[in-house]
Amino acid sequence: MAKRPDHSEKADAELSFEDALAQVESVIESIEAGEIGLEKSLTEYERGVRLIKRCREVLANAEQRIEMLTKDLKPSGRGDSE
Amino acid sequence: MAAPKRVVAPPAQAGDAPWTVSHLAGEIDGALRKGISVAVRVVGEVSGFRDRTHWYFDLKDEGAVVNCVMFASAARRVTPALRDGEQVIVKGRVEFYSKGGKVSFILDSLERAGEGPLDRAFRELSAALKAQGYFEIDRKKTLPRFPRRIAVITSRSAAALQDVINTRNRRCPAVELVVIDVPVQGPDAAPIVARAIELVSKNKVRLGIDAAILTRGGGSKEDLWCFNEREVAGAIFRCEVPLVAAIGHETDVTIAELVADERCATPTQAAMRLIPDKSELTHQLDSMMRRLGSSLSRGTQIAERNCSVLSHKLSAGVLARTRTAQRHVTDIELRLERLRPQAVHARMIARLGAASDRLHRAMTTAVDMDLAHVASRLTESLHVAVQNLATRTGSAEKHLTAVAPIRVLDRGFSITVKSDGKLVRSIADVKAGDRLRTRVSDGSIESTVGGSVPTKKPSKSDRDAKQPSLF
Repeated sequence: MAKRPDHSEKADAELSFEDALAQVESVIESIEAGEIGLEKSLTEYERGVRLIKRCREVLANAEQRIEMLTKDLKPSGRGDSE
Repeated sequence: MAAPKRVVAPPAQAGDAPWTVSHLAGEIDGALRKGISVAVRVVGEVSGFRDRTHWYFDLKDEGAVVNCVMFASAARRVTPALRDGEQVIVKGRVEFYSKGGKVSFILDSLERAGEGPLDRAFRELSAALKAQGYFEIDRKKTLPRFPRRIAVITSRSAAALQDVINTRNRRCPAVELVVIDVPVQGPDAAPIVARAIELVSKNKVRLGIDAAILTRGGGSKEDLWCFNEREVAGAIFRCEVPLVAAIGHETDVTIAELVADERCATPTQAAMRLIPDKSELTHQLDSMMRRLGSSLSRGTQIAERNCSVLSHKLSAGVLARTRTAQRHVTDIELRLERLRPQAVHARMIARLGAASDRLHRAMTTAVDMDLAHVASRLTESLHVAVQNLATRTGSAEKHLTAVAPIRVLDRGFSITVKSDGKLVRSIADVKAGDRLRTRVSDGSIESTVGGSVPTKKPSKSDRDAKQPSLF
């Protein structure tokens, strides 16, 4: 399948915070530049709002997670896989 | 350099011929060699360093300066090259350079003051790694603005880890930390640290790691040493995850920090460098939200403006078309009006009136002129005619008087007429029995025709002779 940018809600939900911010930036720029039609502007706007909301949720997540990795660190440890 | 033969001042010198300069120089050199006969070690600060294949510089301290020369063969062994201000310990011998008139310290070896074997190892490895491009700014990775998970490679018992965790909790609790517990000092530390870095790099996708912090607190030079090992440097160099290093105190510089994508003075600073401030981000999100809203309203405004421009153009177009059509209709109406019978009639009447006026005027003028002319001509011709008549009347009277028949009757001629009054000129005019009346000079004679006799045809001469006799 061709690598077209996927702007579906599902795809957006998987974006990293940084990528989401970058997407919002590009949404704003494309609307500001007036290079997209009004209807597209509206859907893009909705998408931007959704992305910002998601970013806010990420920030609000106060889990303070810390994982400890202690095993497999000896030089003779098992091989790592991707 | 020729050694002088005499090593003590000659007793014959006083009052005798003076020494040459060369002689004196030879004496000085000899005295130096004798006085400082062994190679000496001297500590001092490098100043006025010049690299002219051989090295030339001054060695100085607070109270004195000595010229130093280090020939290329010896200088080659010293890396990196000297710099002014460096404290060095040099070893060599003293000579008098007679051509320059100067005392020179000819150096055999040089070491930097205070440099132990670790310093040398550090200097040599950093020089080698630098030559291989390990410290190049261009190859350093950009740190992510918002790492989701950060690998912290340090000892779980170190204060450094607590600093990182505290900073994370304070700035942005949402950022997850994955602590890779490693020994940060001792002989085993370097290979394990290198392995940990490799593990982070290889598993960055699986672990979802966006950045790494390599850190430990302050310690002695020996304590920090594992971060100056080549295998750690190599692991950092090959690491695919952006890595921030903060080893020891700010004044300590390790090779790990030089290779890392970014160096920070303390673990807290490293954490701050990677973990964004939540309130700052919230602020940023707020401003993006505002920009998004205003961009949409601007987009709407632009669309509105476009609409109104279009509708304006459209109505202007329609208006223009309507006006043209209107003109057309008016035109046709006018033309039709002209063709209406009454109008035609009126127009013709008007034309006739005009024509008749013109005719009238023309006639009036013409008649006026002609009448005058005709009248004058008429008068003139009448006049002439009257004249003619008068003339002719006069002559006719004379003639009439001359030929009046009555006078002929006096001379014996008569005139015979028939009863109907017709004049008798020929015998053919009468027949027997007709009644005739013959006028003579004194009256008339009535008679009846008994017959007629034609006259004999007279000759021409007869007739000519007869004719004049009548008158």
